[in-house]
Amino acid sequence: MSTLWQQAGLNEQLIEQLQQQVQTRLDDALYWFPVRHHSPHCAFLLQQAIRKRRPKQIFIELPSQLVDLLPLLNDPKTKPPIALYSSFNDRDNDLGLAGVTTPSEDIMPSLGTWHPLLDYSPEYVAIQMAKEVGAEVIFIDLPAHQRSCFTTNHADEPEAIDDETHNDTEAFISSRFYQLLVEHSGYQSWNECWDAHFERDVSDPKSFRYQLACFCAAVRETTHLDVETLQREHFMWQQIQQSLKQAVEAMVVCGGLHMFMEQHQDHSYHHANAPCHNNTSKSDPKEYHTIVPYTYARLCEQSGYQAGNRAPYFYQQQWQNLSAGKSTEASLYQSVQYLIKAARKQGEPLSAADALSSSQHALMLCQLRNRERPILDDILDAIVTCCCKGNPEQEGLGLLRALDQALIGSKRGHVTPKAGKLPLVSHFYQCLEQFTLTGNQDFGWTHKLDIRQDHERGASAFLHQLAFLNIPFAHQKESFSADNFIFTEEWHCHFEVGTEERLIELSPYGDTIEAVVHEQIKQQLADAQQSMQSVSQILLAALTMDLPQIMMTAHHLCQQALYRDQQFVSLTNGVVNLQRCRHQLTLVEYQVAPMEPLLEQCFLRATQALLHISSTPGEDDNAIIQGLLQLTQTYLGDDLPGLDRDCFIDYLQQATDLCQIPFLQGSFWGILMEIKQRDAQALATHIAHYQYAPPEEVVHCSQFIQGVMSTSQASILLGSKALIAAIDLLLEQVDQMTFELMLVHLRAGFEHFSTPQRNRLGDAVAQHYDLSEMESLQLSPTTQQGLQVFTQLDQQVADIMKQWSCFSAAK
Amino acid sequence: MATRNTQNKVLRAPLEQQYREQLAALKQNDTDNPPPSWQLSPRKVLEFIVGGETQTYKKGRKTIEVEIPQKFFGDHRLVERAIITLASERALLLIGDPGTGKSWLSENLAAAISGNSTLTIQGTAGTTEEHIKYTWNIAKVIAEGYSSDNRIPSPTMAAMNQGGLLRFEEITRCVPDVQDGLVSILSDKSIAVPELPDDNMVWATPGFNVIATANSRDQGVNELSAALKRRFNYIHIPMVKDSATEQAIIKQRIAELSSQYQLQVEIQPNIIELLSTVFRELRQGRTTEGVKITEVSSTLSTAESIAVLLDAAIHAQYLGSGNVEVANIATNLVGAVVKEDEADRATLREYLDLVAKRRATDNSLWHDFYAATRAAL
Repeated sequence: MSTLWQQAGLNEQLIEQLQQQVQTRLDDALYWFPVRHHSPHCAFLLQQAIRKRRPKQIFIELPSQLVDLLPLLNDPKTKPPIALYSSFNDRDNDLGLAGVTTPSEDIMPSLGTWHPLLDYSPEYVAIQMAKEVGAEVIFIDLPAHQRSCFTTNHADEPEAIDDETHNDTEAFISSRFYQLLVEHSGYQSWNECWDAHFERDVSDPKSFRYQLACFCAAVRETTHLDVETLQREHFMWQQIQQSLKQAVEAMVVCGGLHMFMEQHQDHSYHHANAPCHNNTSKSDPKEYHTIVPYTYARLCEQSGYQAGNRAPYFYQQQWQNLSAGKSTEASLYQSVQYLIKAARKQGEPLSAADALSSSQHALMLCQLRNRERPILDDILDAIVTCCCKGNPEQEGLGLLRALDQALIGSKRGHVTPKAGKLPLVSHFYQCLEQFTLTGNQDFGWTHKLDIRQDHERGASAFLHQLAFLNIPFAHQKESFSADNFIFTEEWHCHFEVGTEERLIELSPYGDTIEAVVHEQIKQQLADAQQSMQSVSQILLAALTMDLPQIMMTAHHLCQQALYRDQQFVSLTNGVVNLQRCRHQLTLVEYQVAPMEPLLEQCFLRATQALLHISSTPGEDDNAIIQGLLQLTQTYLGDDLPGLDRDCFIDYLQQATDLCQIPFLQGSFWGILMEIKQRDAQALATHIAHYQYAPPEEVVHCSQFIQGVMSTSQASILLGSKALIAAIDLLLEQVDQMTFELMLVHLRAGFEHFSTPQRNRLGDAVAQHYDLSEMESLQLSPTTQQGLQVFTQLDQQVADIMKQWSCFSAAK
Repeated sequence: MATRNTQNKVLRAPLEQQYREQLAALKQNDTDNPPPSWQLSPRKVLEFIVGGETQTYKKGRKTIEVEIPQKFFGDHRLVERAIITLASERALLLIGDPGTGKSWLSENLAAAISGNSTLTIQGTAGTTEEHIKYTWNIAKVIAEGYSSDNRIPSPTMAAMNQGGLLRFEEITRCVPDVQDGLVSILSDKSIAVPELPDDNMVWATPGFNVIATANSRDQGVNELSAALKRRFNYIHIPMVKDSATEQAIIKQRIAELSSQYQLQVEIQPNIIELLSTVFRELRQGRTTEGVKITEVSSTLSTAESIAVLLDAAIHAQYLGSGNVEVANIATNLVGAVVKEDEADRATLREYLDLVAKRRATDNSLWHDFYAATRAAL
């Protein structure tokens, strides 16, 4: 009887039932070997089991249509980590899901799936061993594009489906058996639970198979399996039945959970939901598959791949140690030494003594935790305890990052040249050739492009497309030092590990870079319908990538966005982006419908949104000011004669009168001054009203002045005399605390002025207080004459300030 | 060793006396071999601190069942790491914000491991090297000269002689010169006595080790030297993040303190929940709904919320209705939140107006809390 069941505290009745279930399956003529993906111990014991049994058929839980990739997988030039890649695009909308599971009817559902295989993936080991013992290999799993999660609901992004492993893990974690184990044993993660039970000292395949079968039977009995899992199992069993010759000469390598799949003789079960999967191994014209190189970095859980492995390199070491027959201690010392060395390389001050104490700590910790050998969690806890001097989330962050990096490793797989390249990857290299964008592969190279030349403009558009798709290959450098930076671009290009990976990821969207960009833009535009800023930004990006044809759809999309968007900042940014689009289109001389009506409409919507500004959060103030200034610039420009300028004035007047936030009210007022609708005298009169107001209102007045100064400088200077007089009146009345609060806002307001503007304002202040003329101040304070003038000035300023109540009160 | 049988005569007896029965029961049922001079095996020490199964204890002719309640709430891994550190003869430094239970854990560890949690040095700016090592009985030295009989051992020396655990509280409050006095004690496990040429070394017996605590808010004031850091394994005790654990801690401590202060007041669980929510939200600067709010600068640890609740309970018993009400909490809460920084008053006011007031519309407890705290402000 399994000790795991007792450890979890299962009741006797359930234990008896499980015992019977497990024994029945283990006694089956067909030999079932349960595995976990990317588990070195599973792989090692499976290897032993195959060598011992020498089956003639091996059924492996991999998508059935990928079986023709076996020759590529067995090619000596193929070196893991690699992935079985499959892409599917329902380009004729046969599934009828366009617009249902995708944001728009123009976007067809597409799917890309990867099945990563490492040296120690049990499936990969099974394939290798099948070759060694001369067994036939049959892949039995349901292809991803036939699963219900893709064919019936939201599978609009290729990234939405990783592989089946994630679902299986969910089933384990949500099972009552696992929860009970956690409760009794205090595991902090599924990985820890797995490692504690199954990544431990090598046992024989028989007892390992028994233990894992017991574990999985209990999980299956206490969890909920979704329809998709049941469909897959139904399909797997069908595949096994179809190809099985002699049960005693066959072996099934599948996830532990599926070991107990229902073996329906009656095929009517699930037929109502099961997708059509006759002859699935035949190639589907919409489906394409191959093997692609993979990396540890992509495989790790930390990269966001939920069905990944938490420490690919660490487990690789475990696999190698198992194969080499190393002892637990030797394996531990090797791992700790490797991690300490890696951390030291990243600048952590660690020594051999730290490696020793960490190893000792890990050994003792695993004893306390009732484990036979330290697992990764124990090793990491030991290193953190012995080497991290403080809070791991602060002082230990560098150490943790270094450990993470070392555990993940940087290994990249190779694929036999016979596999060829994906069409998108080939197109990428063709474009590099076409635009002569090749260079030193090791260190990268720089290209200077003159976009007035057709060829170089094409190259620039291509590089912009790569940047838009986040393909790590080229980044644009700032080239202000160049003589002609308006028409030249400088790009730094470098082949990176992720370049091809990203291209492979994007493959389901199309076979050329341009096609993928089109698809991505369509997707983004469909997602951005609520925001004029986002839509216009995407259009601008499309023009930078030399795709002016996108503008054909611009009018309709922008109309929709304009209808829905009420955000002032978004609408003003829309105005700016559309203006830039108009200039770009003029440059490329592309004939599209005139953009003026759209621009005028956007301007009008932004104007109307002025009344809603007061309800925006304070942190948006800067963006609002920028928006106001941009609208004013458009208003003052003469290239859009159809703008409703009267409406702008009218709404601005209303917004100024209605706004309750002093800073914003001031900024509206400033704009009105700039467009000559209010003058400085009116402003001075408004400020003067605060002269006898309570202190908090006087502080509000200073915020108001700050707002005015943020949008209006020239108009203030024109009427500076009246304004200074008004502020002076205000200062005469305030107490010291109010004065200090006001000072913050007034200073912030003056920051908006340039140095010459400040000097002019300074002159106006001097004139107001009858101080010396500017010429006489050109004296050095080190000369006697200069000193006299400055002393006299100081005295005059002191006398003025004494009249202000804040200073007289202090006195 | 502390004075025996003082549990009922002193305000607070050391833990080895308070939990004497539990420790004895664990020892009786301990099947593992403890490390040299340890009273319990590491597994039993862990059980004592994080709680475990009820133990059958033969006490004289009687056999009784002894419960082992949880004493330290939080991540059990931290306790495991701390125990292994001490078992591997490396010194342990518990570091964390005030009120996270560093001293409590240190005391529990010392009580369970060496049966004596009283060998303690309290680190302050005035702690000298003599406090760490030894001093002399000057009168006797004048009369008889230097001899080991005239030496007054420090808690360190006592721990070395007994093979016990020295607790060094707030080590970073001591000036670096004094801290460095620990280097030779931790590396050579000895103290040199140059005044006694014939008996110039005191050697630690097996089991001797040091548990220090440091407040992470003091970091940078008297930073430990690199040499000393190397000799300590650091364990950071974080603030309790989840509400359920925090409430469990408050409940247990309040029950213990109520018994100690002989309080008979009843505290409703929803009051504990409210207090814990307020403290956590103000501490983390985010409400349970995920809305960002201003954080307070003062430390609002679980210990602070226990203190607020205890004050409210005492007030309710002696000056109030006998039941802890929200109004009792409000006054104490303002005092806990607004300490050295007056800006915290504005933060609390903002919290009340933005968060508490909204909850008050459909929750009478929050309504009372809002009204009482707003009035107390």
